[in-house]
Amino acid sequence: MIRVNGKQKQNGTRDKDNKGAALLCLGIESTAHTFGCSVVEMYQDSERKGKVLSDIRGIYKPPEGSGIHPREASRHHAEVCSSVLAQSLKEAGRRMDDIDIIGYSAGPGLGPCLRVGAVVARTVSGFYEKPLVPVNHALGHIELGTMLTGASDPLVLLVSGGHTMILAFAQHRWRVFGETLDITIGQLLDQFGRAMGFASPCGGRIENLAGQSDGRYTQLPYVVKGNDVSFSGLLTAAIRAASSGEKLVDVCYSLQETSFAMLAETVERALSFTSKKEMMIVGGVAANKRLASMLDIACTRQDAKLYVCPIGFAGDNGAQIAWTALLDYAATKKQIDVEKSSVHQSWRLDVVDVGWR
Amino acid sequence: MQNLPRPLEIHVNIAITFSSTQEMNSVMNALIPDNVNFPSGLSMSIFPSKAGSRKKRLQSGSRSRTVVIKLTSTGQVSTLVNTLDELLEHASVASKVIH
Amino acid sequence: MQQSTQTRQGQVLRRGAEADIYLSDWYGKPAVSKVRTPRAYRHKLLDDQIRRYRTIHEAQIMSQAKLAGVRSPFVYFVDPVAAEIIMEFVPGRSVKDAITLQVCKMMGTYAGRLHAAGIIHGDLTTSNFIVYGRRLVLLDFGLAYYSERTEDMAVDIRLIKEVFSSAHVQIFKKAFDSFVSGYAAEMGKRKAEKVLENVAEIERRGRYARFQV
Repeated sequence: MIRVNGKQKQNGTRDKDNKGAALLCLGIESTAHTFGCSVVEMYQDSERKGKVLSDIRGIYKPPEGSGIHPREASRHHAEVCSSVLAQSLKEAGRRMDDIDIIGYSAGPGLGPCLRVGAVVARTVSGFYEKPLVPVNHALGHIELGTMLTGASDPLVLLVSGGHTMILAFAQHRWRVFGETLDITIGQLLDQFGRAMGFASPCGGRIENLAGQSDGRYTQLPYVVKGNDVSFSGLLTAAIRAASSGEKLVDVCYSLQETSFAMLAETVERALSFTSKKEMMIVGGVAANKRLASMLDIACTRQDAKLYVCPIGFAGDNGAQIAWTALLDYAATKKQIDVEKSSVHQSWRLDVVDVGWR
Repeated sequence: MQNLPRPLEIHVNIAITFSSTQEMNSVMNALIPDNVNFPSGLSMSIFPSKAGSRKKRLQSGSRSRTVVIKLTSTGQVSTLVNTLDELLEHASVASKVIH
Repeated sequence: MQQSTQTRQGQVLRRGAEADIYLSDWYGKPAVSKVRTPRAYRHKLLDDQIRRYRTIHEAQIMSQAKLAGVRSPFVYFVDPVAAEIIMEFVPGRSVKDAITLQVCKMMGTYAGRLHAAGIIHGDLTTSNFIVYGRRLVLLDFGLAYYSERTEDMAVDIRLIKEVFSSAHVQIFKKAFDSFVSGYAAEMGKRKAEKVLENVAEIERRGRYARFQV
């Protein structure tokens, strides 16, 4: 049956929870392995408070030992997108008519994957006549993290497969204090894992194995250049160590200890330089408990409070897109024309103007 | 698919008919933004088909439920096939989402 | 010989990210004791190794910098096991709090002299430059190393560029331009341009290289 498009509802007139005027967004995430749809609500009466009403994800799992093949992943997304979308509305107890805006991940990410999400977003936006809001995926991690942890002006460590950066907010933008000079921490863990024959994503398995180690530390390259880090030498050395007879659990342990210590050191520097009193970890690798505990120690030394994005929302999801779209739209009322809503494989976070902080 | 030494000139016309004009427009508009940055040797245009007599169209506006996609390739055949593959997949995604 | 433990009775000047700095004295001269403190989050083997290496290395390279024409603190005493360096105390203000375009040019000059001598400072931030009267002194050679590679020089320059653009955002363009004029004067225009191109490339690489799988 074809849904007939109704008139766009005024903000908040159909709020079922009686909390005052509220803005509802359907967020669509599809930058890499995850296709996610989420319905998030923003309350207009309090400052930037929101609630995630649903968060549904379809995750592409590549075969053991190989990484994400963009086209295969996008095929997966094309298959699951409509059921993920339907499920997200159902779980939120809302219908398309109730939705006020559509947010979509416009980048950065893998082209074919981004395009599937964009097509879904444009279609829904056009057919139901809802404003379309493009969202930067990395910014999504930060904003959702802030909303869930309550941090107000933190130094941010964004660690995922797609990013490894230390960011501080100044003058309308997230500024990069330090980042990786080659591969991200997510890529380091994943590529090491795949070389060992694990199925991607490998972070969890590496963390488990590292936990089984007795604490034997193997010399691995520790490379910090100023506020930046470099992981490619570490990757090569770790693979070599594992292939030349070192126990796998010890190599996993040493890999984590070395790479995380590098991140902790650069975070400590950034905290010291900026004198910020809060530090927040976001991104898929934020789920790693060893990383969080190391950073906790580093933060204590610098008199800063540590916030960690809750595990359930650390990985890629639709809620980060929806929440950021809400923030953007509520503050700027800007939306994008469907014809102009292209996607960008590369889109640096430090060029995005943030109108709501 | 073999890539021949002198590339073939290939024209592809695709017509997709939807259940309503509104649906056709939504899907068409969803596909157009990615119709940029093609590799050299490939070009594409998307537009609604001309339905009905000219007189009727002038009176009531186009009521086409069909979108036409034309591709012209003078480059690698594999590129053309990949583009078609993605295009049709996207059209199907868009249609699925509406229903 | 003065016990290194005695210096720790001094007042703490700064608890930095890398080391604690204590006010102290060395046989009557005002001095600074820099102690690389152990990090509880690092594995002990890794931690000891990093601290010892950086201590020795820093002292060495700090002296080398003088030969290149860059003012750095004078080293009085080095203890690799305790990871401590006792050096000359430099009064004055950090450039982070006292930034002027003239100082930016001088910072560029220092960076140029170091790079021309094959030394990469490794941590060129405005808080590592001290203005003392008309003198500029460069501190913290803890991450410094020897290299002739343009890529490494670019990483060095990129750091201070990032510092200008994040901590000193309001005057970013002018500050960096002044810095570059001082730098180019020491390195020669052509070499300086090569380095800057490399900086742009690193920034670009940061954008595109992340999605290789």
